[in-house]
Amino acid sequence: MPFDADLLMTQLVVGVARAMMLFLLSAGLSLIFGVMNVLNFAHATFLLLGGYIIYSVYSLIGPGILMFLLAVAAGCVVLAAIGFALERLVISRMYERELPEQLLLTFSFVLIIGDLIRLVWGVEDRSVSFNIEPLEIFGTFVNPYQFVVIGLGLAVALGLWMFLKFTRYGRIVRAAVHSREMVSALGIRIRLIYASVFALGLALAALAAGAFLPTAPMALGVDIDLIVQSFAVVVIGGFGSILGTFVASLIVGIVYAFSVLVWPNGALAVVFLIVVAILIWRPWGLFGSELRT
Amino acid sequence: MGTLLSVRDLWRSFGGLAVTQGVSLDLEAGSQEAIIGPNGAGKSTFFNLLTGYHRPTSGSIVFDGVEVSHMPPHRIVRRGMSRAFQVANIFVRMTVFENVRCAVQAHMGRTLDLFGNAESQGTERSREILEMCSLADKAETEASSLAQGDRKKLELALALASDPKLLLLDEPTAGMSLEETHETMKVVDGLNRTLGITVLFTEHDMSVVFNHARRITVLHRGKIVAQGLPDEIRNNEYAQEIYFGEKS
Amino acid sequence: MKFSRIGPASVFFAFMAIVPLAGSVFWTMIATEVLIMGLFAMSFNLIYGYMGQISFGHAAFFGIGAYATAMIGRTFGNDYGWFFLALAMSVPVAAIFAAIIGFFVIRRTGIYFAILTMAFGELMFFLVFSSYSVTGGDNGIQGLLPPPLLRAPSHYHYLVLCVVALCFVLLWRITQSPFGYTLRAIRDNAKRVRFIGVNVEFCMWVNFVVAGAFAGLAGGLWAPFTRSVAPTLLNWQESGIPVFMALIGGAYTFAGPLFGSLIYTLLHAWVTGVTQYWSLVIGLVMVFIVFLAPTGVVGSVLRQWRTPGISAPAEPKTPTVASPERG
Repeated sequence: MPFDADLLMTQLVVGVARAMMLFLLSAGLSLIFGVMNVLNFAHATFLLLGGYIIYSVYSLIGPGILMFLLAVAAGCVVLAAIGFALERLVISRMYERELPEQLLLTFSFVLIIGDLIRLVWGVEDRSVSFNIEPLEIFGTFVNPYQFVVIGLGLAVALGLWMFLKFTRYGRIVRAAVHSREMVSALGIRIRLIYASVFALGLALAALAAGAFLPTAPMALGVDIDLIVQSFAVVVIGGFGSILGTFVASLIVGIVYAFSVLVWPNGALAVVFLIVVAILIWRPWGLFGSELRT
Repeated sequence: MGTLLSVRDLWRSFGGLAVTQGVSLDLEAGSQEAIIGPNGAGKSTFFNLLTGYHRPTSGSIVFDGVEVSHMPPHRIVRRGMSRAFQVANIFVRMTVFENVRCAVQAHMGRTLDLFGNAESQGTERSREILEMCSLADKAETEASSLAQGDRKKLELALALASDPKLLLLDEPTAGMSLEETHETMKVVDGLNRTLGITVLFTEHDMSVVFNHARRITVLHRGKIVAQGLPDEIRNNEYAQEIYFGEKS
Repeated sequence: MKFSRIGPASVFFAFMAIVPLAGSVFWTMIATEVLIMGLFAMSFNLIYGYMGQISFGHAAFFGIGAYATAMIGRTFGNDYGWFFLALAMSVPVAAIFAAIIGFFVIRRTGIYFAILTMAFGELMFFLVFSSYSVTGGDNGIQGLLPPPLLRAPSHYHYLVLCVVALCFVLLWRITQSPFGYTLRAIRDNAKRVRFIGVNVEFCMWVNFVVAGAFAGLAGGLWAPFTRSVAPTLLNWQESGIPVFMALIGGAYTFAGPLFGSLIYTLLHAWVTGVTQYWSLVIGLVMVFIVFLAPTGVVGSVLRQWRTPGISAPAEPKTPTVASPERG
């Protein structure tokens, strides 16, 4: 199969768009881990749930791109509410427990939520499609929606970074990454912070679902593919760094998009070659700290 | 007696911050010396560098005639340098005896014995070490339920299991009662005098330092600022100022 | 060995030996499943209960073992010699894969170990799934028959019983060996183990390979038992099973995972007869166990009865699994 410049260009756009979706997912995962030290195995399953909710809302209020955006916003709000409630009711009881128990809890969520989705929406794939004219760039046709996703990813990355860097809440969250005791000692309502961070993480997952939905269908099992790629992202980038997550998402997204051209069945394996290289060369990740292994 | 440990111009920085700045130190075989300095002087980092837990940015560490600065911790231990930690680092879900037996079996090279019976190997030696550290009566206690002083003794016992030529003790009496401190330092003196183990220790308790070290090195902000016999250090103005002046 | 230490396990194996005498094919096959999955769960527990790391990708080795047996069986037929060779080959094949994957995953501990094992497990699943020409892809391999004398469920059950009992003894020896105690030490405080002169990474790697080999054998027994293999044997849901079994039974007891397998398998057989939402049920059960009986059902019962325990490691007092290096 000859590769011409057009095809490569298309794949680059697809890869970057995919990277942004991965970033939205992984940023939440990374943030929740960084602040609460809890690994949310079910993060991509929440994305799936968000996707189904967006689908259902959209089929009620659609069609139209504006209505779709409204549906995405609704999905984010619902997921944030679920996240807030779940943190207060269940996750918050786990902070003092052993790691395996925490892992088991969120692992169980994958099973529970997966089956709940099957119960409510059945086993059919759900997708949303718009009839948008492909955009011609340098003689190549690209789905303009990809650019919307890229823009969204960049905006969220910038927004998160500015939030963490310049706002009071952001500074508290960053302080919580370093020392929970210190933040509690300052009299800040740490419980509210935790619940908010969890809600934010799940809202980001719903946003990622919104980015995902018009390009590929929601289907049972998609969550596992995504969480594995998201794990690859956090291993490559290192936990707890927005920049690391962003760069690693780009690497994984683009490498995946190009590998699919060469070896459709082995694209995931190629991503794992990078993970393996990182484990040998910098086990703590590109932007992680050596001391926090 | 020859030089057992020879450190030359040792540097280490963490993210641009130089924690160890050109430390050089020679240790005669059979000696017993102390390193003192205020908190953050770089004592623990120095020990971490010697034992291979951190790699030096530059400089050399020659132990028993061999350059060890790029070896991983377990290989340095096998060459005969072992350490006891300031905060007791023990195996909490095993009994005191199992703790020491595990270390003894590691020294015997039995670690990869998958099918042998652990209960029949190195038990004599383990009892001996427990006896030495006055822990024999607690052999069957689970390590997690030991009192602070006993934890530190077990820490020492683990360090002894590898039959060291050089023993590094990071604050061996921290958290001990006066009586336990006395008892522990008697054990340390005994190891040095009767078994000929070279000892290098850090300590906050100045009476322990002046009574048990034959030479004292003062570390401050990653550099050696004074070195000498206990009396010399006691009268060294510089040492007094930076150490006793800032003593927390 | 005192009776109190091997007693419950002897009762268990004796019970497993008489199940086929009742004459029910259904219950015989349930018992076979309990044994095979019990072996799988015990192999997992070498990594979890003894080494203190939690693997969410252990099914990769179970599945690879199953595929090794199935592919050799498919190629060479099912006379007795080839059958036993095919069964035996599940061990080295799984061990080789565990050696390669283990080389990478043991570089990180705690949460990263969990992430990496799951990720590599899914990678293996994906590779098996997509290599249609070698593995049959999605369809898997069907129609695997054990040799004639072993086809009756009760006969196959006794073969499995012998193999699993032998593995039980081997695993017991390993956990009581100097190596076994070194693993416990690594679990409690990996950093300190370096300073008693042990190459921690190498030990962890060896244990990962040993655990993978036993999981491979469990898979090797599984393939002729169900007469087929499919890629789902390697996936994350399958990897969850030994985790659940170990936690139900109690990871800090030697035979806990075996009893966990008994409880899990019976529950599975019952629930799947009633509803198709097994994942939902087991997920909720696990949430309850995490909150109500974190030492596992067997562990909790043992504590209630104040018996000396099935075997060695004591109940956890201080959690250290989180990150042994940080201590």
